[in-house]
Amino acid sequence: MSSSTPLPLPQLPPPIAEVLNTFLQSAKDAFGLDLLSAVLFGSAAEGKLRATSDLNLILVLASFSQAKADQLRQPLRVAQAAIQLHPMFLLKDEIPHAARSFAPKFADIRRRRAILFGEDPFVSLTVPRDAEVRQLRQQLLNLILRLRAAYVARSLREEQLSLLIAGALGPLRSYAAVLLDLEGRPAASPSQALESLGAEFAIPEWPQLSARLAATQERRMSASGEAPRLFFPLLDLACRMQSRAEALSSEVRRESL
Amino acid sequence: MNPFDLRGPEFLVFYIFFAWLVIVALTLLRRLSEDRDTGKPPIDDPYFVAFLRGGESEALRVATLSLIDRGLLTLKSSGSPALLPGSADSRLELADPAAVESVKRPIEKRILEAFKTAQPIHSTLASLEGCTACFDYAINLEKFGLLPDEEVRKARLRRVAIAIGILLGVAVVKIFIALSRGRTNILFLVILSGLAAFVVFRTSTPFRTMRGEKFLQDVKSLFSSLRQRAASLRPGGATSDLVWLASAYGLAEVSPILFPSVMALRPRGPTRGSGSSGWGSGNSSCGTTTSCGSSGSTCGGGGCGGGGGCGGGGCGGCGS
Repeated sequence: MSSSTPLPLPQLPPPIAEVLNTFLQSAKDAFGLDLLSAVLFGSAAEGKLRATSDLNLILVLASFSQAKADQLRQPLRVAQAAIQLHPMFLLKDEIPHAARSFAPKFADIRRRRAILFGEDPFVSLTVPRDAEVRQLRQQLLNLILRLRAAYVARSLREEQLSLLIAGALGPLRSYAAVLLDLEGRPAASPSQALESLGAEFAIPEWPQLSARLAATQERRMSASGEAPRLFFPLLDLACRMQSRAEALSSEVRRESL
Repeated sequence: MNPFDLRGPEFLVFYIFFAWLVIVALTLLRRLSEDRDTGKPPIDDPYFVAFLRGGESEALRVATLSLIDRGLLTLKSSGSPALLPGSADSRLELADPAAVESVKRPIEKRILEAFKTAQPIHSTLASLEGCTACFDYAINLEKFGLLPDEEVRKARLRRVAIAIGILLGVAVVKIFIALSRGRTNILFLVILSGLAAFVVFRTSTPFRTMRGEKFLQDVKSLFSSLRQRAASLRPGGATSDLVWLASAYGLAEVSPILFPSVMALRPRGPTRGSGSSGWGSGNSSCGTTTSCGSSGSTCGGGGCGGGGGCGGGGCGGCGS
C-alpha cells in the first residue's frame, strides 16, 4: 500500500479510545494553536491492535515550549500506563528531515496512518528511497546482531528467550513490509508481508511456525522447549531478509513517491 | 401462616431467609443513596486510587514503593541478608537530601522527610497515618462521594441500627413465645441472631461507597492491560507503570523478581480497604497541603528508530 491517503479512523476498543481521546483533548488544551495535527500510525491506525500492542501517535506542532509541554506530562504518564501510548512530538518544519533520517519509519507512517486531528501533514511526504534502503539494511543487520548476542546471553532462561522472540517479531514484520514495498509489491499489512516472505523463503513448516510465533508474541511465553525451536527459524528469516535488502537498488525511485 | 408458630428448625430456616432479605434491602438502599453524582473524579494521581482501594496505609506503601523505584529511597537491611527485604530489620533511608525538595506530591515529600535517617519501614509508615497529605486524600475522596462522608456514615448507621433492631426484635419475640410455651432450646436462635447482626453490620458499612466501588472498577478496567504487562515492567521510574499497577491492583501484583523491595512493603495485617468504614480522622502535621503536580520525572519514547525493541537490549535507536 504505497498511496499517501490516510486510513479511515479506526475502531479501537472503547477503553483505549477513551484514554486516547482524553489524552488528545489534554494535548489540545496544552498546546492550543501550536498543535497542528495528531496522527495515529502503525497497527492502531489499522485497527489491528493486539493485547500487547502499543499506540503510536505523532503530534505535529508549530513549536514546543516548556510551559505547554509541562501541562501534558501527567496525562501522558497515565496514557502510557493505561494504553502504552508512545507519542512523538514533531515540529512541522522537521518533517522532511525526519523522513530522511528515519526513512523506513516514515515510509510506514505514510502507508499506515489515521488523522485524529487537524490537517494531514504527510499528504505530500516524500521518503527518499536511498535513505530507506540504507536504513532498512542497517536495521535488519542491527536486529540480527542483537538477536545473536541476546540468544547467547539470555536463552539459558527459556522465558527470557520467549520475551526476546516476542519483542523481535513486531520490528521484523515492519521490516518485511518495508522490504516488499521497496521491491514494488507492497503487502496489505506488515503481518501479511512477513507471511509472504516466510513462504517465499520456504522456511520449513512456515504456517505452523508463524502461528506459534504469533502466539508467543501475544502471550509473551511459549510452551516448554519451544522457544529455541522458534528462535533459529526467526533468525534465519531475518538473515534472508537482510540478503534481499542488500540486493535492493537504491537508485530506482518509486513513481508513487 | 404465622412464622412465630413454626417449630425450632423451621423457624431457623425462616430466620436465615429473613436476614438475607434484610441484607438485600440494606444493600439496595445503600446503592440508591450512595450513587449520587458528585462530579467525575480525575484519574491523575495514583495515590488517590491507592487510598480508595486500601486506605491511607496502602497509599503510603505505594508511594514508598514508587520512591524506592525512582532511587530516592534506599532499602537497607541490618543483619539479615539483603536478599530478604521483607525481614523485620528492613529500613529505608533517603538517598539524597535534595530529593525532598524535588518531589511534587505532599505524600511523597512527607515520606522522604520521615526517612531522612534510616528508619524501620512498617513502624515509620504507621506513624505517618493520619498525616495532612493522607487527610487531603480522604477529604477529596469524600468530596467525590467515593468514600463515605459524615452524612453517609450516619445514614448507614441509622439503617444498620434499624435492621439489627428488626432482626433482634424478631428473635426476641420468638424466644419469648418459645419460653412461654415451655421450650428452652433457644441457643441456636440466640447464636443465629447475633451472627445475623454481625453480618448486617459488616456488609452495610464497607470502606467505599457504591460510587467508590464503581470508580475503582473503572480504574482497574482502565489499567487491565498494565496488569497483563506486569511481568515486563522496567524498574527506574521512567514511566508511571509500576505505581499505577500497585495503586489499582495492589502490591501483590508487583513482581518481586523485578522489584524486590516490594517484599518489604507488603502489609502484615489487613488493610483499611478490606475492613469496614472509616479511615480515621487524625490530622498530624506532615508538610504542605498544596495540590500536587506531576511527579516530574521525564520519560522516554517519542523518538524514531528501528520500529521497536527486541528484548532487554532494544533494537535500533534514532538513526542507529
